[in-house]
Amino acid sequence: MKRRLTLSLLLCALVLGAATAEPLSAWFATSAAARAYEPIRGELSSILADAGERGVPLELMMTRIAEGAEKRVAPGKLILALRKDLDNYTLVKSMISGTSPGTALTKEWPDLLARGGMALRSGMDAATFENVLLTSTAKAVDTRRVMDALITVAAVDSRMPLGGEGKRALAVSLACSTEKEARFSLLSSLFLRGKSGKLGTRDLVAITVSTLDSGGGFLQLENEIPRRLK
Amino acid sequence: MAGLALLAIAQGLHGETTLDFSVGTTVSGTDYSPSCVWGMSTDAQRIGDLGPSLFFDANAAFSRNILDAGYSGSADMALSAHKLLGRTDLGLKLEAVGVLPSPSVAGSAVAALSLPVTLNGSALSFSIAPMLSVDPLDSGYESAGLESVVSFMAGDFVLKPGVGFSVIHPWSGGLEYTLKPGMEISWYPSFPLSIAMSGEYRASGNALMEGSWGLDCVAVAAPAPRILLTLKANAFFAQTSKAVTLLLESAFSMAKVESNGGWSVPVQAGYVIVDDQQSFSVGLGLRYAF
Repeated sequence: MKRRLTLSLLLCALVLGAATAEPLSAWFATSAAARAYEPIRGELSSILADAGERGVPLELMMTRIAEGAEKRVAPGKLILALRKDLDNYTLVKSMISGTSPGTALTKEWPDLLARGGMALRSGMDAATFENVLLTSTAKAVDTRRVMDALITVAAVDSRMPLGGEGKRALAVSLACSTEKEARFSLLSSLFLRGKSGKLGTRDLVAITVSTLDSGGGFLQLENEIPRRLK
Repeated sequence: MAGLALLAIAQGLHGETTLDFSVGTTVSGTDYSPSCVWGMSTDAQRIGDLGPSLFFDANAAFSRNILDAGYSGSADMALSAHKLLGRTDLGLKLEAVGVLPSPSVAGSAVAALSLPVTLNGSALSFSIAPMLSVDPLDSGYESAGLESVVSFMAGDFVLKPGVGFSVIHPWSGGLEYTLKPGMEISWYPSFPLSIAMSGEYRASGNALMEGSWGLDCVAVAAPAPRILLTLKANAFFAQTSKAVTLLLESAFSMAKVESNGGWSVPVQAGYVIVDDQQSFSVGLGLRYAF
């Protein structure tokens, strides 16, 4: 019995190893940028195998490997960044699965994980991420829209620190708003307009949340901010 | 106004205050005028979910020439209340703006009341604001006017064509009329930069006053997490006079702190030309927000 179990596990590992080795081998065979990473091929393969075990789509990890190679990231740093990415994707997977259990079966799944990973990579903390996800999906907001709101707020926070509560309130308000997702990225520039008139970050968050929660969008916010400039 | 401000504060407003101090010098030809500038701005707000939102702002600035007794100063205060009825915003705004009289400036003390109403649509907003203002000083006036603006988004741009009309009665006698068609264009790209430009033409009904153009531009960028670059430019053109002002400021935040507040170091460079008389200025300051 014990031998049979060991054999089964070995077989699984071999199948998984073969599956993970395939995209990596293809990348090494076709990408000129890959040559510099030949010395860490074994570690890359191990990270991909780990991703497979955790249920993180390999294409996500391959995309990050290719991006790192394009930017000529040092091999040691690439390994560290990939391990951090894998932890982020695992965390996002766990949080999304908790709020929307059926999402993992959809074709949008890799895209959702990629967006969630980007939000964490941009500086969004896990506690705020989870709180925003829970609050917004409870209001029937699409998960992809929540991810976009989190990425947007992380981008604003990187230039104008919002504080934990500010990030949470802004992300929930943005996700639940009527504004188009395609325009979310304009929020950093709208905040900058307020900062140029010496408006405080807390004021900007309060004005934005109030405008969006009352059914307005960025057009109404753009009317509100100049009205408050000093 | 002061009573209303106290009332507003008693309504549980919370806010932020910024203190500015800078030293600099203005160079005009071979003349140097080093000066110290003190500034303070404070705001308080209560944004109500159900009741009206209240906003209170006060700003003051004072500049003192280091070499002689020259000085200039100004202060303004505004209290506004807004109430949303569906997507319609009803407002009431009281303003007081004072400029300290000095050997080079006559001074003024303007009080104004406006009642802005904004109709918000999903793709278009329309604002209309009737207003009254009065300056009780000898060189002052009383006036009544109406301003209206339409705003809409086109890609990353917000466009605001508008028009204003006012009737002015100076204490010295007579009546003046001004018509101000204008346009504001703001650009909000997907990276941390914003540019707002506005222009208006002021046509006067008084034969003694000539028509004039006013142009304003504010550009702001955050190229790195602790750096804020701001360029402000404004220009005035009439047949017999012109004035252009440019001010570039780079503010470096001393510490990455949560939310607002903390120290920053603004460095400023300015250029002014008034009727062919040019001057340059540089300044270094300290700003504290809390």
